[in-house]
Amino acid sequence: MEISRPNETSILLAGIDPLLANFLRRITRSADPGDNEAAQARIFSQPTQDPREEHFAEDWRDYVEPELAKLFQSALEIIDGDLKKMRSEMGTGQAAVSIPSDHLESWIHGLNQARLVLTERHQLHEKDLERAPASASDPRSMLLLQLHFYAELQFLFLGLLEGR
Amino acid sequence: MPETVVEKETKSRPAIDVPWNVVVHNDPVNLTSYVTRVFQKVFGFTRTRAQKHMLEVHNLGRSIVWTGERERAEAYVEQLHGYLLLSTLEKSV
Repeated sequence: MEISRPNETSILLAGIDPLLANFLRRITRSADPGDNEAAQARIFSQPTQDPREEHFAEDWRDYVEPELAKLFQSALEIIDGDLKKMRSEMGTGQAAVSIPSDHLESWIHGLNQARLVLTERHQLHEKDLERAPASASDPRSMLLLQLHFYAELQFLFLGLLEGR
Repeated sequence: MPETVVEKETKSRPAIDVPWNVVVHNDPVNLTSYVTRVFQKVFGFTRTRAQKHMLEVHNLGRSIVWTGERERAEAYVEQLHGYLLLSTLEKSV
């Protein structure tokens, strides 16, 4: 996969392998915590660890979390919108997608959310994340590959925002 | 004549006037470069200062990134949660 900046207003991801294109299409689904309690708790984490602040924590759940949910959803909708324009070449199956530069923040957020949710949903620990994916036939390895790909893309997008 | 019932406010927040810390906690998933960038964006830190706090989070498990009045501390925690960082408010001792 190649990343280029054809102009000031867009980023082009080209030569995307079908497997990686599939990972891209899964970003928003992966970022959805659904009913998974651990993933929900990670996305909407507690604002205090002090048991005396119970009232504050209640207010937070009632008023702040719905606003955060809207914020997270809007980033995922932007990613979905960009991915709808992803096209695959007939012969190679490789895909390409253009991302407006002002969507990069949303992509960084969505990739981060997907990584956090997947890690919680599949109960991965720090040691798991450091492990290199071993085999394409192993579902756990495919999950690690998906996580590594999202992390790499997030890192590259951060670099682009910082002019690296 | 009906009896007058005086209700006491029981839901007051404790010690609102003391300084409050905004604490960021470590998690193994957030990228160090992402955490640094969030600190720069939310608090206007220089890159060096943002990296110092990021390394504190990474190496010590937590870093106090801001101290001050309660209302602003709550707003900062909300912003940090918007970036999916693990952040809490705590009383400064």
